[in-house]
Amino acid sequence: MPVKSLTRRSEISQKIVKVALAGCPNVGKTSLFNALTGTKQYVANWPGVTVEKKEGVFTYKGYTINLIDLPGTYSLGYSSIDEKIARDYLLKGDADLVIVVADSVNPEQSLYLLLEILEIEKKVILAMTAIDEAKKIGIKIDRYELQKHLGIPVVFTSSVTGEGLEELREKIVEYAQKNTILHRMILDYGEKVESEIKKVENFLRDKKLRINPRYFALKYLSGDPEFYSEGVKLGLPELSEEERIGYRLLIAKRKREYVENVVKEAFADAGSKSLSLSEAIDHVLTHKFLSFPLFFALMYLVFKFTFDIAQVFSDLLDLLFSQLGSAVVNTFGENAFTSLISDGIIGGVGSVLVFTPNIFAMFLALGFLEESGYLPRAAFVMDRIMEKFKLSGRAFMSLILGFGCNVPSIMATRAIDDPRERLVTILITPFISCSARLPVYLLILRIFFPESSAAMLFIIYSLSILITLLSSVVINWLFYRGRTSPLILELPRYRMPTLKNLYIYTWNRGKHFLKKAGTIIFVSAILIWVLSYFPAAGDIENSFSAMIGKSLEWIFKPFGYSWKIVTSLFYGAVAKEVVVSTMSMLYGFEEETFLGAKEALSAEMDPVSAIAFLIFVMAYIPCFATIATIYSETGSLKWTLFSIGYSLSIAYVLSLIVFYVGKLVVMLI
Amino acid sequence: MNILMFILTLISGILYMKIDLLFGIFLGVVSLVFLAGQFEISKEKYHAHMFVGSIIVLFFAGMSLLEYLTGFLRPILGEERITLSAGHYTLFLTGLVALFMIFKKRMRSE
Repeated sequence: MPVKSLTRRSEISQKIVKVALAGCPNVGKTSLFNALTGTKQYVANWPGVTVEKKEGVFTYKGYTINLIDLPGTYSLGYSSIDEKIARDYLLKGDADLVIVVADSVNPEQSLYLLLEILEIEKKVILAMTAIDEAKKIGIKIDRYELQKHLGIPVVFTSSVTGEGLEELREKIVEYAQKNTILHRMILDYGEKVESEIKKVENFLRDKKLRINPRYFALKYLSGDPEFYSEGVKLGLPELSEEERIGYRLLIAKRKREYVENVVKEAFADAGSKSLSLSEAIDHVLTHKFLSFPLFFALMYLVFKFTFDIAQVFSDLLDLLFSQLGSAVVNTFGENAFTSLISDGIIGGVGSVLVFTPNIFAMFLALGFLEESGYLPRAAFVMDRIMEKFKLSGRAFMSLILGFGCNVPSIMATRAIDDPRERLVTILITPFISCSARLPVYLLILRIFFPESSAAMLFIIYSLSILITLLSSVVINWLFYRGRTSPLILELPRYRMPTLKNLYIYTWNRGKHFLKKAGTIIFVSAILIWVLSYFPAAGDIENSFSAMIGKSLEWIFKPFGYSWKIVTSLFYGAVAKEVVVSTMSMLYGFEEETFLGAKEALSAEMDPVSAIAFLIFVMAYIPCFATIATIYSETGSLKWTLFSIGYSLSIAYVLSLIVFYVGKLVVMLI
Repeated sequence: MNILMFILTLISGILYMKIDLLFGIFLGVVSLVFLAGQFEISKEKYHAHMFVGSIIVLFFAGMSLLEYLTGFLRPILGEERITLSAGHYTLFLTGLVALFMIFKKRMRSE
């Protein structure tokens, strides 16, 4: 039965329908998922963003519809992990219905995937997305022709305007009530392939299969690793590689011809031969000579926006927290409790929260570039350079997610086909400066480089990319000697980012920072306050924190860092923002205001040791969450330990070099 | 028109270097988009350079304007407001011309 019943405690019976959303990468599956379920999953205008199944629920006409957003896949073969997740669910999952999402402007590849899904004999609805954009550029789609050729319901939708969403909900419920699929797709693959299919089907007649015999035969003949080995195990003859490739090409060719015919019959474009807006923009932004400097110019604007524009709001927050801390002490007097509130909680958590405007500003700017469709072009532009560092533009796309947080960046490597490149990308990702490190940079830059903070921030981020890329060369040199696989990337259309999508992008990423401030940093702040207040009742020089810092001080002796800085780095291993909250607390104990604490910090460091400190923070040990993700994604303790050891060594050596070279330059000047 | 935008952006970049060196350098980089456009034989590609270059110039001008406007909040922090200089004025003017170019190109494509 396609519709299941669930009896709740209240004895209200509800009908549940499980619906899978499948489609090629970047056709708008997640946008449709958000529009149907009212959730705010992260959407981006580039392929490979959804790398795992996501579930959402909505109710319609008494039905509870469980929607599963699958990672994008171009076909039901499998090469990368995310594609395998989609394929496995479609072949073995328990979906009652599949919505194949196709881009109305570029439907060919989506229709190819649709044919494959129809061959599994699932109940399918075709949702043509971005219908508003198709109309805008003069593409006309004949729904009758599409339905006639494909034999399934077709719905035109737009996640931006909301067009067709109600109709889609209606169709889901209507189709789920039916017990049989509306149309069996049986493509004629020509005499040679069809006779082989018949032979295989006859052989499989008595066998117990989890899938229809025709689909099994097609996959077996085209040499799909899973079906081919299963077929051979069942007693089907082994095929030579040439035979398998031959069948695969014949099957793919017939599908392509069918799709071409459907597109010819059902789609009519405006027939313009002039450059489209996307082509015109691409002509400049992917220009042979201009593309690279323009990429850096745009990235500089991102950092200018992050620092120079948002800084005034950050300073206002800083002022607010300073006055709040002073008000607590002035009202309740100086004692252990007020010290916990003003130094521990307001000082510790507040010192991190003041950077909220900067972090949201950075995500807003990056979101604009991503939503507009520029970032995949950046991957394309960077591919030429990435190749020299034994990586591809695909790795660059994963790495760029790391500016927000390294955890999703590591998860996004699932979209990389080559296992070598995937592992290397995972291991180098911690060098990409995540938003957790931004508060540390901003704090130090504000104190030591107030006039050129945006430029310095840009240099630090550029350096972090450089170290990331050089690390790829080192790891490849140490463990692999392979070639990089070429980047094949479907570039999305340029589009004006909508305010709604920008809001979702910025909020989804920024809230992670706020959540951390309310959880990890809050708990850490209290723990650090306890360790810094006791056992000497506020005498910080004799606290537990001082003991920890002083015992590790020798490691940083060449830099001349005090135990307070060492302790901040030690606690910062949990999460990088903790470096700021620890500094704020350790220096704040002896000072009445944050400004005083900052002056105390500037008395212990000079600009050169401050830069060395920033380099160390940029590269040293991944945070706990990143370490756990590296372990779960590589499944190897060896690589996880390597990542920790390697990043610590690089951080130490690099900051030491910067420190001594910097001192030398200052001496010479 | 590419040549006009090239000259305006380049002058803005040079004047802005006094205020923010990297910003000025990158404006200089953007001016090369217009220069390269001048050498395009295809009319469409010529306009593509003008259109994309103007959008980027508009981003730069917008950023400069935003920085100036947020400067009005500085007195609350006991700091001075940003005073406008020749670099700002030239960039704002170039931004206005860029805005005109973008609208002109959009009208043409519609």
